[in-house]
Amino acid sequence: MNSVDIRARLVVAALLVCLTVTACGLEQSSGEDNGVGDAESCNSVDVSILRQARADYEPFYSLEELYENGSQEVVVSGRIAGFSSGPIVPVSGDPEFPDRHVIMTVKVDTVLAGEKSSPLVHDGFVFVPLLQGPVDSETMEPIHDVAAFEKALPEGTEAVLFLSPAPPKLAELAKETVPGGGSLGAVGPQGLYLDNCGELVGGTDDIPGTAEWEKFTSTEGLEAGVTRLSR
Amino acid sequence: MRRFGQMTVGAGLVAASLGLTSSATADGWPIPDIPEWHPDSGPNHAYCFSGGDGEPVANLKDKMTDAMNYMASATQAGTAQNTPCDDTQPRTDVVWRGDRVFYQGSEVIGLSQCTAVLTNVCDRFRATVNGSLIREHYPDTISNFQLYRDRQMRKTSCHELGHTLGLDHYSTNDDRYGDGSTALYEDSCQRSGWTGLTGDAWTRTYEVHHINHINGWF
Repeated sequence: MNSVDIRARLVVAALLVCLTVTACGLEQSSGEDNGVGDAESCNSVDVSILRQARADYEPFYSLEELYENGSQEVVVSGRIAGFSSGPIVPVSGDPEFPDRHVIMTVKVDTVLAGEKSSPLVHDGFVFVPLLQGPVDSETMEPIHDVAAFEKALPEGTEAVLFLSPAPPKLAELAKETVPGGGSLGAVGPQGLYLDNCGELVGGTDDIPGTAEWEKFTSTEGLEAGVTRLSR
Repeated sequence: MRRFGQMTVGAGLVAASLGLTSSATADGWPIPDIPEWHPDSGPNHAYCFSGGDGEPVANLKDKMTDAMNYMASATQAGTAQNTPCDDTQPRTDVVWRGDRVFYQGSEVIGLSQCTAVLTNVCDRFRATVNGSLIREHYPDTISNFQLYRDRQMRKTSCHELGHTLGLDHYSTNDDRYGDGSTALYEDSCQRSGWTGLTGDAWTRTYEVHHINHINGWF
């Protein structure tokens, strides 16, 4: 099947479903300029690049729940400083398709909770492994390179991170690829929050749609919430 | 701060009974903004079991096979088992694994990922169910532990297969259709997390709206 056929099938499929069922709630552009999302004045992020896998996990339905029961050792706020190539982790029984990673480096502004001396914060930076996503089935090259991450998540983007130590296998393989010899800090499905032109968005999954979470609409608000809990 | 893994069976049940899930975005298909989450067009959504240390145990294979058979009966997507996995294009659509699995560095109950893209669709998904974590969550010390493990394996197999069919997580808190029918989202194994003690039908089925999405493609 060629790409034209696929696009045609997609359009027909979407139309059929939306005509035969009820409204799909697909996001639509109004064409209006509300002044938000201007690339000149803020960092618009594309979090889809962070979601190259989908997990079944038990969500935390409030910040309090995440703070009390999450695996994090430290919570920090800061700004994205860049991306680099990360470890390639072999997958047993699936040797052709190891888990490739990129490493996101974040410059820490504030340690909001946890020990300021945590090894996960190295010289004022934290290093986060992120799945790089699929390869091209024919060339076996990743379809998202480091530059794609840099474009989707611009340098300077504000971030709040709930960090736990990376799994030992990943940390061991990353020793030579972590900039500055730092330790990897994992964020999991609910440990990365980003500023999208003033709006708080979940990095590796959407923020649960509960009233408890909807109280937080900005990174500043989330930082204040974590600070309050840490006292 | 406590460590992950302290969620109890009871807490999982509470979450399940409240109908809570993890996502709050629009009901896009396939998974919004990620073109490669399209399965290829079929007619079959073929599957195989990984070898090596990732080969699922027999009981888990049964649950994965049940999920494939449910898909074939409830949707227009057919299925076939490849033995061994076909690694030439087009590849086997779903490679099932049973292993500890991590998402962005944190251990999770299950994980689906597109591993290879061919002409803008996913040529090969890998779906992993974390039987070890499930056994730890429902330990031998609780009564009926095997029943709860089986239900969780069945639910997570259905959930991960749903992702390979382009389905996302869906929140029961949102009126995504704009018709007040939020309860629809409770009726799907795409709800995230532990099943707790429930064996309700939603733990092994998709709801109608999403079946229509799947049928629109296959």
